Amino acid sequence: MTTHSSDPRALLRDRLREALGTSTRAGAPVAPRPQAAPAIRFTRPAADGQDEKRLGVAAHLPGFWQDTPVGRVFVVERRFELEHEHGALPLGRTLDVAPALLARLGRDAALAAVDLRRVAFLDTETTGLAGGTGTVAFLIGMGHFLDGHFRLRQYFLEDLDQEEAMIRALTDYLADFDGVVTFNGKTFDMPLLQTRIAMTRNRRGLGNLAHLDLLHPARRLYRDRIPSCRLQELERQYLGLTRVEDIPGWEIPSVYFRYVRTRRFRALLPVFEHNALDILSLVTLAAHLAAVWRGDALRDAGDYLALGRACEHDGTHDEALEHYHAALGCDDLRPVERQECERRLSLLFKRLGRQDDALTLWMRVANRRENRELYPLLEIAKHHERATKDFAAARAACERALALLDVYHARMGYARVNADREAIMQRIARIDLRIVREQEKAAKPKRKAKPVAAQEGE
Amino acid sequence: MALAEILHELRQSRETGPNFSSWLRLPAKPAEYAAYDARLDARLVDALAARGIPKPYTHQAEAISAALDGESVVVVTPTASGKTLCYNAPVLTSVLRDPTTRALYLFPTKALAQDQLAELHGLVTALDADIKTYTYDGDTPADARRAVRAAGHIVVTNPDMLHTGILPHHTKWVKLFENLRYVVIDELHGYRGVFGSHVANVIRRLRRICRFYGSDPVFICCSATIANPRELAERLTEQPIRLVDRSGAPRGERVIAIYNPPVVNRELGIRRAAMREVRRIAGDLIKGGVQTIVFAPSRTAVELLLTYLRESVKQRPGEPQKVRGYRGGYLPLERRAIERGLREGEVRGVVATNALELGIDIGGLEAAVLLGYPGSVASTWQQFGRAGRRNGLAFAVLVANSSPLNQYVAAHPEYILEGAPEAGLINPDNFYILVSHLKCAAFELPFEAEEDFGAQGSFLLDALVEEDVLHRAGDRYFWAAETYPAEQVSLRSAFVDSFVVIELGAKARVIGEMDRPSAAMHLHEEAIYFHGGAQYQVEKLDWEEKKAYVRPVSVDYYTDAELAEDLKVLEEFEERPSGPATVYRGEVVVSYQPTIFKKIKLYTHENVGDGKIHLPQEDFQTTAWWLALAPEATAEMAGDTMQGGLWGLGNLLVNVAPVFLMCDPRDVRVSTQVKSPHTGRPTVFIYETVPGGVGFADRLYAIHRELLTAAHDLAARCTCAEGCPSCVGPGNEVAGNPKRAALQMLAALLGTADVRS
Repeated sequence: MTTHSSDPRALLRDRLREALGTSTRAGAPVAPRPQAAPAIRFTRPAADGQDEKRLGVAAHLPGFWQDTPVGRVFVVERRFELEHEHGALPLGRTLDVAPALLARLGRDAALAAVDLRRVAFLDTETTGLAGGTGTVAFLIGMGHFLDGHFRLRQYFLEDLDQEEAMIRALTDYLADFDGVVTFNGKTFDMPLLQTRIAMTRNRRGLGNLAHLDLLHPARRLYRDRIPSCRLQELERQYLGLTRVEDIPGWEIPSVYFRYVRTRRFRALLPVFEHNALDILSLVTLAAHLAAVWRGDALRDAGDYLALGRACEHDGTHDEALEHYHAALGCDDLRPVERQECERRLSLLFKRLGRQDDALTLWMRVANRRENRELYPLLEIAKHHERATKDFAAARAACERALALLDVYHARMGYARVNADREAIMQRIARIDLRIVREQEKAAKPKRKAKPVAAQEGE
Repeated sequence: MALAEILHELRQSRETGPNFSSWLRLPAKPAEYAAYDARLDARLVDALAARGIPKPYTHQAEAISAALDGESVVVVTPTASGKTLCYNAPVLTSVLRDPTTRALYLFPTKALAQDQLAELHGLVTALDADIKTYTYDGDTPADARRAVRAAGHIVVTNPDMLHTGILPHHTKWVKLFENLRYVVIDELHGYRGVFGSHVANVIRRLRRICRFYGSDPVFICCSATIANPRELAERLTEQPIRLVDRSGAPRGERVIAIYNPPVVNRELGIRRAAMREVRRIAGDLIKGGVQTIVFAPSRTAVELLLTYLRESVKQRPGEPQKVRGYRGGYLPLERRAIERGLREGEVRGVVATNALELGIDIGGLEAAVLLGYPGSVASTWQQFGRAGRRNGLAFAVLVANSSPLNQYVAAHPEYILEGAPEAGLINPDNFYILVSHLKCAAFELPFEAEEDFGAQGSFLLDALVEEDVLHRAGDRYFWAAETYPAEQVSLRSAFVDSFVVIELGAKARVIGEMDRPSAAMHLHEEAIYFHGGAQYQVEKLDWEEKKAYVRPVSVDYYTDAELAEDLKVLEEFEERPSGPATVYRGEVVVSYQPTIFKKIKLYTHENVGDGKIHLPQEDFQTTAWWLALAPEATAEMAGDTMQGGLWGLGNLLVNVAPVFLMCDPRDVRVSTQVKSPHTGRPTVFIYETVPGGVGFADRLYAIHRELLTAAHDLAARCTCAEGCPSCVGPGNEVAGNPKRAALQMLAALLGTADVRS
């Protein structure tokens, strides 16, 4: 036999490397990171005389081994006082939140029935973002309020073959809960857990848990105002918390894989901290959002506007009006916010039958020199066409809209210019027809119909 | 003008008549019926009767009974013989009886899946039962997917979707996998070569998932005629399969002809261009109102013929759009429109690559014209079968080109008309393919130590651990990487990465795709790329980003690239002496680099210029068959003569090899070495162009004597004096008389004294 290498295994290995290319290799090496953990300090010193590098999770973190019929799993457990300040808010503040408010935040009536002491704040750390059956949650953190403190548990996959036990312990534990609170859990964490439950042939499953995903109310509130609605951005902007030396999320999978291969646990400590911080932030974010929704923590025009929107959606119109008015009264109202606020407020007036208030507002907006919006003019036209039957005024408003369209929208190359123009032209045609009919009606008792009207009658 | 009249004229005309080397009239064949299996649901039998199928053909009855017995089957019968009933009947009966039952239908393409669904819907509607059939493919909207997963009784999909979309998410398909009773694999013959080798691994993964959920489905496969349907089905599904191959279906009368363009230069062995003859015959048919399909061997040929045919029928206003092109690289919507046009009769002619060879429902066409031998007997009959799916006269003709393979076939029409079709070859244990799917499988479910998965499975698991792809914990191997491996594996290619073709302009848009080696040949800068009958010139090829930027042009030439190649032996698997030579099979590494391209004038095929190609050298490992000549075989030949002879011998061998391999001629290539560093002797290598190989080299090793005989036969029968493109290649490219030298070598190899030249 003639080969490049005399060892067939070595040859196969070479070919394997070639076949795999470089793309499947784990990410770039990660520098060891400092242990400084300002918010929470988990680490406990290793016992004397042991090889610190080889010590597992139990030597580094407080917790216990939980036995299940399918093996054991390590659960890190910590307690936090209700007064523990995570950023600007103490954890216990969340206990004051009325479940009905949770239901409004989550737009899910099922949340109104939960007991906050039976709600788990849940976040997972996974081996990737790719999804599918090959992505594993290796750390599932859950916290809840119990006997005057907040208990944080982190179920840790010490090695990949313990997943059955981990999922079993998790589902057993969750069986006593009414609901979960997550951040982006509807899209990510919960489907992933469902997959892991199916993979481990776990029959109990997650049961019937109500689910509040805080990403959605946060996004409704802050969408246009901050660069992103990531949890850490929200913490920084609204929860008064800045993480120091937090491990970036994208590094986490490779850190875990390295641990699994080398069994050196220490590098994973920042991941436990990261997860714990996420969960504590879920707690305070829930309190913060609830306070905003309750109207207690409104800081600026944007808050009022967003809350107004939310109330409008929920059908609490009086509150919505109040918030829009408040927003318009804020000094820090930005022009885009003013535009939106006025539009929403005027249309809400209209919907509530407050025609005069609506008209006043439309006039105010339309007559503002810098106005670029068509809607107030079109609404004025509609109003006159339907309510006051002042067709001349309706037509005049349409003419103004057309002028605005030509001098501004067309020049700016707005995509809807042609459709808008067509709609306005149609409206003008309709108004003209009604003007003619009016004239006809007015003329009838006195004289015979005018030629124009006669033509129409044919 | 009716088809019969056109045929009469073709036959009688002095210009075309004498060129038909074969004109076979196949009589109509009556139907043979049997009774429905008593176990079929009575509602189904009634519904079938109401739809005009009161009793099944014999092959349908046999297949249905086997499937109901829980036996996996492969049904091999001609086009339009009612194969779908063979699987729909047992599947629907099972669902009617137990609504939790699930079935999975696999079709090689999305288009076929959609067709099948329409037919199945008809039957289910007639049954008036709550049976949900859904297609699940890349086009299925996200909000519909949940319903398909939870409630679909019959899920119709393709192997690619099973591979990337279903298996890696099997936990969302628990209902399907727990209750999977039947897996239907239609168009089985399409699963050969690289694609088949991939699909065999996808099925390994499928069965692994089924075991996890406690199901063990019965496989019902359907295939066009090939030599080894049962073997192919068994290799693909790795379980025993029963063969059902006696068709009871009726057939209309057909004329099958082989046409060899007339010789215009005897000395040089030059015949009139096949393209020109096809243009004439197909033009006559289409102009006469006969709905016609033309099969062309390559995308370039499709586009050329499309241009020609549109021109030849464009006398009438509005007609050009009635002739359409159809090939890989067209986007799905475009294809759907063409298929519909064919069924509804608006499209009167279509020029296609073998993309239309499979059972896409385009209705019964009246005529099929094949530009060149498609590379296999099975494929030829598939393409012939496109004409005359229903009753009534139909016409199919193969127009031979001057390639050696075509000339071999034209001289031996019985080879196609009476001979056995080829075998469908796959190699599920191709190293590259196996490793790819081993990763996908590990992603789907952890591997148990010692768990089987193809050859070398358990050793490879440890190797993948060393490569940090898997992690071993306890007795299991777990996926331990952040990636989603199925996304990196294309079933259609042994190459992971494909190139996209982007049209530059105000709005840049993607107009096509191409695999890596083809890209080097066809998308180099200045290459002319044909798409939809339009010409584009490649302005920039971004090799790193795998993008080719093209701009529409109008020029009167196309381009043809040349490759420089180098081959080294890595490992011998086997060798044996054969007369004054030794034959081997083993593994080689091939380096290739496109060097120059020629500009070739349309219509006249003159060389009107050339240019350099600047692309990096690439190499790949593959399997090869090689033949080293002992001194006796080249006795008394001067160096130059021997070199020419070896060159001719190589060309002959690679030219006839596809006859035995059911492969595209581009799937194998030849390389000759006057003094090979490996064997120390004059050596001819035939290697597979697919990295890792799919079994062609093994097959050549097994049948090498037949190969040598066919090569000898081809050269000996050719009328040329010193070699021509139809046998050893144009003799003026090398010294001496390569044809005579090659024939001498072959005679020595075969042990025959007879040396004709």
